[in-house]
Amino acid sequence: MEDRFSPNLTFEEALKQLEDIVRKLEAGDLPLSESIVQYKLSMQLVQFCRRALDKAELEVRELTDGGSEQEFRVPRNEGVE
Amino acid sequence: MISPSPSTVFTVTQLTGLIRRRLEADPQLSRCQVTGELSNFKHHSSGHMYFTLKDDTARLRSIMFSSKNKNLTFSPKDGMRVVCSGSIGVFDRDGQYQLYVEDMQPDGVGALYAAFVELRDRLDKEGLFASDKKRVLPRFPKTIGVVTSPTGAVIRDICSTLARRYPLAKVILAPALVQGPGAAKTIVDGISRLTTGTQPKVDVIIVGRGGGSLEELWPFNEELVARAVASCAVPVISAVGHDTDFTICDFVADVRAATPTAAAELAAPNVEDLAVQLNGLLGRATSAVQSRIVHFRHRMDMANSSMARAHPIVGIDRLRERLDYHEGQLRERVQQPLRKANRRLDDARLALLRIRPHEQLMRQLAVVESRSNRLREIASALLAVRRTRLSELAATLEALNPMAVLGRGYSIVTKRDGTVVTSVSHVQRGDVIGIQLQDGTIPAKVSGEKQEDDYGRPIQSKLDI
Repeated sequence: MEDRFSPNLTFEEALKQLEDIVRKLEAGDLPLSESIVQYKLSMQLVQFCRRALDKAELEVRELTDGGSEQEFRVPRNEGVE
Repeated sequence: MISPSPSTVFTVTQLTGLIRRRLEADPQLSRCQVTGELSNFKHHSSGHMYFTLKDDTARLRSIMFSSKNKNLTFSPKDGMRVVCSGSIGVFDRDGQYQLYVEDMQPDGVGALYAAFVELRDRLDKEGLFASDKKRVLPRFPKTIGVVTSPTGAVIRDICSTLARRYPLAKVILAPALVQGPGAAKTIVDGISRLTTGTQPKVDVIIVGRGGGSLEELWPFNEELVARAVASCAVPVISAVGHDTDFTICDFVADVRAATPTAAAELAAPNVEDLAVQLNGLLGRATSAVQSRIVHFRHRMDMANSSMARAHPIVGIDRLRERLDYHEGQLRERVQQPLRKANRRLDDARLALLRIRPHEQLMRQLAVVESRSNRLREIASALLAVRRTRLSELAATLEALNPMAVLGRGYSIVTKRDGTVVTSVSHVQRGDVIGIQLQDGTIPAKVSGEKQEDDYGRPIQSKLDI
């Protein structure tokens, strides 16, 4: 398990790591100092995840015929099928 | 009134039964197909469907039991033209004949429907729909692929749902035709473009289209689409048509969603749930650490108290305690006899004082005194007696004293050594002798030989008294 917080995590990785830490803490077999370290890390991860949730904005891209991605503007209500 | 032919009088039930049996015995009516337009369609809560098939000039009451209609792949609606197959029967209570529908298909698509059924059954047999082939959707998809029309409600609903629920995701749209010739090819193409490459671009794919007729939904019933979905590298959510319009794509997909919105909801979690989950995780972490700390504190307390018990000071204290004890014991054992002795001494002193030794002494002295006086008296009395007796004896002795004889003329011859010469044989000539008289001694020398009497005995002087 990572013992240090890496800011390069994705939300999913952070959440996964957080879940792992909680499981490990709940198992109750960590030395005390280690569990404090892990707890600090878990708080950092929670903060990171919260920030990620707060600032998240759905990104929508479209595949071009050439296989690359380009910005896609989601059609408004009046769009037709 | 006279009847032309006297016939049996039936009860209504009998007659209705007769009609029922007659109708049901007709092979044409017991297995027939009929086309018409649905009207008065009712899907009863019991699950049975009641409706009327009609055309311009006739109506046919129809019923489709739930056991038959549960496999319908479309939802019948009023005005829909359908082909029904079934048998004619009679409902005794209403005196009504009606069509008992075994199967119902939308009319005009008979060929398509047959193709649909054929492909569905074939792929089913092949195991493409098997539940153990269904993959689990990723919990937190980073990228969600969508294969659908770039215009229209599907992509809009999906994007708005994801923007609301899970804006962490990235959506990649693979634009596709969703109806008409060539549409299936674009759908397959979209799936493959989202998943080819060393790494699939997406974690999950939504294949979607709004509702429509069987013809309109047809691309999603094509085998190449079904195979593309089945072999897709990532899980596929099918959201084709509406709730009741099933397509092959729906069967083969890992998850079927009733609507595009539902597909988006299935594809990703809700951030609000995630926020709650985060709080829950933090809470769990906190209480886990707290209980850990409580645990360690408890252990520390335990260790501390046992350490206190094991501390050398405690050992010393314990030794000191023992020392004190022994000291006490010792003191007790030494001092007690001492105290006892002291007590006895005191007692003795008291007793001594009680017996007044001085007075005793005086008393004893008095006794001694009196006894000594008495002794003295006795002694002097005895002495007087003895002295008297002594005087008497002395007088007697005086009378017996040989010296006293000297006074009467006797003498005593002694040799030089003082021995008394009592025989002539004791001396020889020349011997110096002393002749003791009353008032002194005459030294003399023996000058002659001894003279013996006639009997050879020396002559003894005899007192002739």
